[in-house]
Amino acid sequence: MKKECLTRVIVFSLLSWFLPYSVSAQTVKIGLISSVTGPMAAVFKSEIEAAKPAAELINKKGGVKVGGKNYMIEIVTGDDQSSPPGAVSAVNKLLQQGVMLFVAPMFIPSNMAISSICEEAKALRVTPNCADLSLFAAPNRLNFNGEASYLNVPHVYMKLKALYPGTKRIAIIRPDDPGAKAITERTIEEIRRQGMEVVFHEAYKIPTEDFYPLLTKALQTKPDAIEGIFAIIPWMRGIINQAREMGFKGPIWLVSACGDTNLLKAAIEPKYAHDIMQAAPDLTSEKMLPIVKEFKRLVETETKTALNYDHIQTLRALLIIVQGIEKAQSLDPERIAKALEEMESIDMPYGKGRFTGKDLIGQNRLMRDPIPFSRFVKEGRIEFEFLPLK
Amino acid sequence: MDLTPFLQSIVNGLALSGIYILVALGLALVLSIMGIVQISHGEIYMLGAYIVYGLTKVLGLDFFPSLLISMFSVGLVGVLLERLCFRPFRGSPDRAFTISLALILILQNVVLSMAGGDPHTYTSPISGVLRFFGVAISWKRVFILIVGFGLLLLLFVLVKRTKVGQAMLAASQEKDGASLLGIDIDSLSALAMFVGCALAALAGILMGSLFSIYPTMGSFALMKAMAVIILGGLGSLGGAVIGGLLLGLIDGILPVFTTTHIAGMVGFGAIILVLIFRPQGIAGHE
Amino acid sequence: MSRRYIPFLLFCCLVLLLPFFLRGAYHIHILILTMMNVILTASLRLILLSGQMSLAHGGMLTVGAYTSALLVLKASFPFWLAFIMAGLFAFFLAWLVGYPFMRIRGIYFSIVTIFFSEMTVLLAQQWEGLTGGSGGIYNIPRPDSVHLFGVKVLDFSSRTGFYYLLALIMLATLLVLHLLEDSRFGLTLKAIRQADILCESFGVDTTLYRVLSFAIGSFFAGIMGSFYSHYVTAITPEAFGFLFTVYILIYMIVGGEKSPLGPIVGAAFLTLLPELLRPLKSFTPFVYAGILLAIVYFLPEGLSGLILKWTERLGRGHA
Repeated sequence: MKKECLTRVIVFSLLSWFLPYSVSAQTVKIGLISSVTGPMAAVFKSEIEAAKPAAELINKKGGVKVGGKNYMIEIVTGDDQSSPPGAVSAVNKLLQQGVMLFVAPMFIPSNMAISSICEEAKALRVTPNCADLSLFAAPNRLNFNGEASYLNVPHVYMKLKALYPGTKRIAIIRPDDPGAKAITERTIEEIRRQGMEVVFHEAYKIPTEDFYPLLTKALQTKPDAIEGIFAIIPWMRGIINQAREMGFKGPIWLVSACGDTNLLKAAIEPKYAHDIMQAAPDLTSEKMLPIVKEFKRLVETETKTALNYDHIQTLRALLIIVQGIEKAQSLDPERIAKALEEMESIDMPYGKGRFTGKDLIGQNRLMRDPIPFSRFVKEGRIEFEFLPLK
Repeated sequence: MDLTPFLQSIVNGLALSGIYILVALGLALVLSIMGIVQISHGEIYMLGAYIVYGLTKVLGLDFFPSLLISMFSVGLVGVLLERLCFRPFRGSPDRAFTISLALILILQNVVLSMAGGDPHTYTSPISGVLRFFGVAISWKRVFILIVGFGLLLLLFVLVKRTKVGQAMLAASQEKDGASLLGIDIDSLSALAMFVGCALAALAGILMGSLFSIYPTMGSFALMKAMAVIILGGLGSLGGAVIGGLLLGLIDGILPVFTTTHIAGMVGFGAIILVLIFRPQGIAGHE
Repeated sequence: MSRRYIPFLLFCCLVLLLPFFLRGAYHIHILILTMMNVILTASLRLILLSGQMSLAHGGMLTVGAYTSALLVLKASFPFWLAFIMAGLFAFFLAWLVGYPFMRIRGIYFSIVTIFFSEMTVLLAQQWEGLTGGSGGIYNIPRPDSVHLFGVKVLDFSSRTGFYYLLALIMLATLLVLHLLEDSRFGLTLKAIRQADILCESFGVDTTLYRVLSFAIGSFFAGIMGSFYSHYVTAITPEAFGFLFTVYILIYMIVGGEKSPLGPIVGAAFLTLLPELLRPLKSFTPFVYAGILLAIVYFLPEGLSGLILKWTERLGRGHA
């Protein structure tokens, strides 16, 4: 009797493997590939958490309207395990399930690994944020960059120079990550263009939380400011707290971001929370658009954690896909891509944006929209604004 | 020549030594002296930190009471593990190894599902910076240094001067002979696990107050603890001091003069060399 | 002698015909992963035969992957040559570090191999000029298609070509490992594991045998690294970290290390299990842990031990 049961269980399990996956006529499946596990999981966790609330937000407004019909969004997550082989597994699985629209991994090696597979399958990707521009240039035709930090660099530095005109010597302490490397190269270019000097530049292993040795080296070069490029809050916490402990009183900034400004504030000592800046939002500010406020409510109810910068990344990518579908009035990736390329104005969480980049990479694949800029003035008081597009 | 960075790096190195010794003490007792193949020691370390996080952030208790509660409860967990998982397989290190592998998976994922994979933080009431001769070090780190070396001294005295300690040393050198002499290996192992796990928890708690906690923080602790023990000598507490100091100074000073990656390689390389040319470690006896 | 090989031949047929029954690139992909794990687990077992529990496979995979990728990209080697070179490089590296490592026994040997793997990761991250640093290497080209008498036999533009290549490699590997184990070499290894001092007194150079088994096992890890990098077309330094090697170890333990069937059963079972348990995805580590504990407490011979007991009972039933 027992043996029969066991056989049945095995047979059913194997059968379920072979049965076709069901596709609902009224939903659009969007794949989200990111690092659920592995060393990069901490970095991308919020992005994955935000999937359900983001889909809910869009579905509450009626979902996506194509040809007079309303389609609900369903997000299917894939785990790249922080590595290219994992990404290849994940994308294969999702493609087999019939998914043709993706929020692609922000981890550059993973994104690269799936590029050729997706281009062959003619699947559309929106990468929420990526500093490596080659991923969006030919032969990749269907990859869109949801937030090109690369393009933001000159604008952020213009603002920084205005706030701290006397700054001449900059120390760069950045994570050892390909995305950070790409932004750093652009940043160094910009620093020199503005007449400043890079007196120190080192990449720290991910994850690092003890910055005493690195800071000892960096502070020896007597910098006026410290540039972190991009980080997550635990690393920035280490850099800020420890730099200030060691007596550094100058500005510390991130040309990109490390997370929501409020969360950063909670992580550092109040007496050290002065003259710190990043191109990230204060998500509690009144200046935030209604869609962000609503999203905040959904995310905080669903995940029981505060709304985070990385949650917004997912929303950005989804908004792009949804508006692309509606403009093209089609679910065909190539037609959506064409629509996105040509749209004059796309509603983003920070305002109106559009895809640019033809001059840089030959096709409009880089999103340009208002840049959030936060600053700790004194004892953690936050000043926040959107930098204008020019 | 400006000596300050050099001085600062030595201070950094010493602070790191304190951390490494603290982390290695528990493992030295359990693995090195009592021979229990406890690979999930890092997860015990992590558990201590998360319990304090739960007590302080969720229940609102103060830091030091939470610390004591956490140490005690983790110690008890250790005793339980010894009884259920390690005592039945005392003779076969391979099976003990496999069990601790399973424990790693279980502990990491229980914490992951309960607290999430996000790094969390809590703080200790110790704050402020000690400054002298142009060198700066936070009081938190000084505290860890004091606790680390202090506990080491205490353990040293206890092991050398008390009967229990002597019994442990005897058991570590020759288990069967010791039990023939009437030494109760079972109780000794339980005691070693209690103390060892409590020490691991303490290390995790203090580290967590300095940095942030996340479910996989144990692997760092395990690697460093193993490195210290191997470097300093198997079966020797004095070796743990030497190993901790050496490793701490390497990790504190080297990155200032080269990159972190190279410093890491030197660290591993030193251990491999020691294992090859002096397998019993610098001060070990086997 | 020929009767013993019947099960193996049946297995070969199964493996070679399987793609015809499957739909979808994803399923083939899972089978490719399974076969990789089988090869890695089986080669790890060879090293264990001499009594050394090595965790250096991760490091050898990294070395093999980068060697192959760099030879093809920077020195324009054809894939087949780079593939062999990757294995040989791993072999010689293992030979080099093997001699000093063999002086260390027991768990400390395993720890040293862990450190070795970690060092390869650090080296790959540090040596940016050669390895591209933490970003790794991408756009690694797939192998050229294989032509036999003017007919295209293996084509690598789709997953199926990779499947057949790996299937052939796996079958060859299993055969080679089995022959090694059954030979005098294998017997000597097992003897060394049980009583190395006794062997030494018979004039056997135990260190040489140990190093040789370590080096041969690492060869297979090396070629797997090469396969991986040309299959996934992108590699990063941490792709084969500590956790990856631990999983191979787990496959071996669950499969059972006494029998040559062990690696096949263990790797296949544990690679396919998460796919069958898809709804319970977050519980996978617990299931793994539970299986490990069950093996230790109830099934020390592993799953292969269980299977062998069943087949024995069946055999006896017929008699």
